[in-house]
Amino acid sequence: MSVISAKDVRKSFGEIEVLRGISMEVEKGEVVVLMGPSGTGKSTFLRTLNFLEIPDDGEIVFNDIKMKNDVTILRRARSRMAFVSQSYNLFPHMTALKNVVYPLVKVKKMEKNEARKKAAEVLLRVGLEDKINSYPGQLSGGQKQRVAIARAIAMQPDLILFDEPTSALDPEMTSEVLKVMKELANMGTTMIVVTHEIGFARDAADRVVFMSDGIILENTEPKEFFKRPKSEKAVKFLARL
Amino acid sequence: MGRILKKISIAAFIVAIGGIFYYLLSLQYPFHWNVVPMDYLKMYYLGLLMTLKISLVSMVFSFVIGVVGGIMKVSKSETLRDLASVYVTFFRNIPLLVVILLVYYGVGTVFDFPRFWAAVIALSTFEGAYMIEIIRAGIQSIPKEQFETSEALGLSSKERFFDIILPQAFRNALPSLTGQFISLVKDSSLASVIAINELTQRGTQVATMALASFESYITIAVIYFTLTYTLSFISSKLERRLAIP
Repeated sequence: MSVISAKDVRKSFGEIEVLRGISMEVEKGEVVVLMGPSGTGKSTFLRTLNFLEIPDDGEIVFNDIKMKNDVTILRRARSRMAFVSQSYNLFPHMTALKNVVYPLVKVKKMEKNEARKKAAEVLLRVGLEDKINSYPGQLSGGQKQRVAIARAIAMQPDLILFDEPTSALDPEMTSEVLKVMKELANMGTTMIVVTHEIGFARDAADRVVFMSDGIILENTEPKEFFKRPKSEKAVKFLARL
Repeated sequence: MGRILKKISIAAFIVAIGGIFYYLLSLQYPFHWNVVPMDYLKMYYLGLLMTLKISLVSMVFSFVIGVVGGIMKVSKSETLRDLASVYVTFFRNIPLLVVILLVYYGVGTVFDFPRFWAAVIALSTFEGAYMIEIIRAGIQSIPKEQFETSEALGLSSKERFFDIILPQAFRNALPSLTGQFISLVKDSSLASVIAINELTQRGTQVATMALASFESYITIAVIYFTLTYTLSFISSKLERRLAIP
């Protein structure tokens, strides 16, 4: 059974049709990388999956939940679907630990002490055990993203969406974040990642979805995609990287 | 060290100018500092108490108005936004003195409430209008990703607002809020027109009783200064304490 499925999703901003009928499914344990030139709607599509952007048309089903703009439904879905964006993920007035604990207590209704234990555990997993009492302002960009990832996995979601998680980071920090993401992938976490990191797509992805101008042009294994891209646009895209 | 030295020298300069003025004045006007304020300390004390009472109560109410109105100003509902805008526009374009008189003679006559509450209502509604703009700016200074992240985490709109947005907005707004609170304390002197025995009113009473206007008004000026300066001192301490590392 697929964790999430999108059928013919469409979205326009004013006159511009950003998503022109996108359909895809992601199975449990799959790591899907969304690639494509800038401005082709990858991020918009990712955001429609958790309804941060409400699609104009089409259907999104997450687990057994048919997504629609309804507070209760969205809350239920989002408590099981994490989202890590480019930057400003963390709450600046909370320590790293509190950033993880807070949604566990509020959304997962976890008991406070249990949540603290869980938070310390996931922060250890992303290698930030010595930063639990630091505020986001005292962390580097890479450390901040790792806290954001820790918060995501602490929620034990069925799916994690990554929206260009490393594009605001320098190469060194990028690699520390990608390392954590690869570990997650190896552990069987279901994730959809919008990224330009070819290395990550090659090593960690089960599937690469190539988007251009609001439609999916390729949906295949990474090896196949990088060796024998079918569409002319993908060839051009890969040549430029 | 240089900064403090500069401040001290500017203060010394102002004191010197004041001193010269005081000397010139004393040639024409015999100061009786032993009579005022010394013989009337009780009067100033009572006045100060009333000023504090009006100011503190009005601060609470105006802050509540500010938060509610500030939220309305950034709300999705156009009606709520317009309502808050009309309120702000209304009170920002009428002098406080007129608001006090309107509340006291107009609303106060109809509903018959004590003058203390007339002053509090007038001050709170008036200063509240400015607080609304301050809170609104505070909320709008929060990056939109903070709203989005809260939403994506599955937080309710109440949790998002009270745990995520407001604590940050409040910190950003604190300096402007302090400024408004200081204005409020000073503006409370206008309550004297409806014969409330706050500091300015007491000062005037002493001035006429003792026939010593300068002494009395200088005294209340010093008291007001001490009061508001203390307020900004406390606020800057608070700001430092709440600062996010």
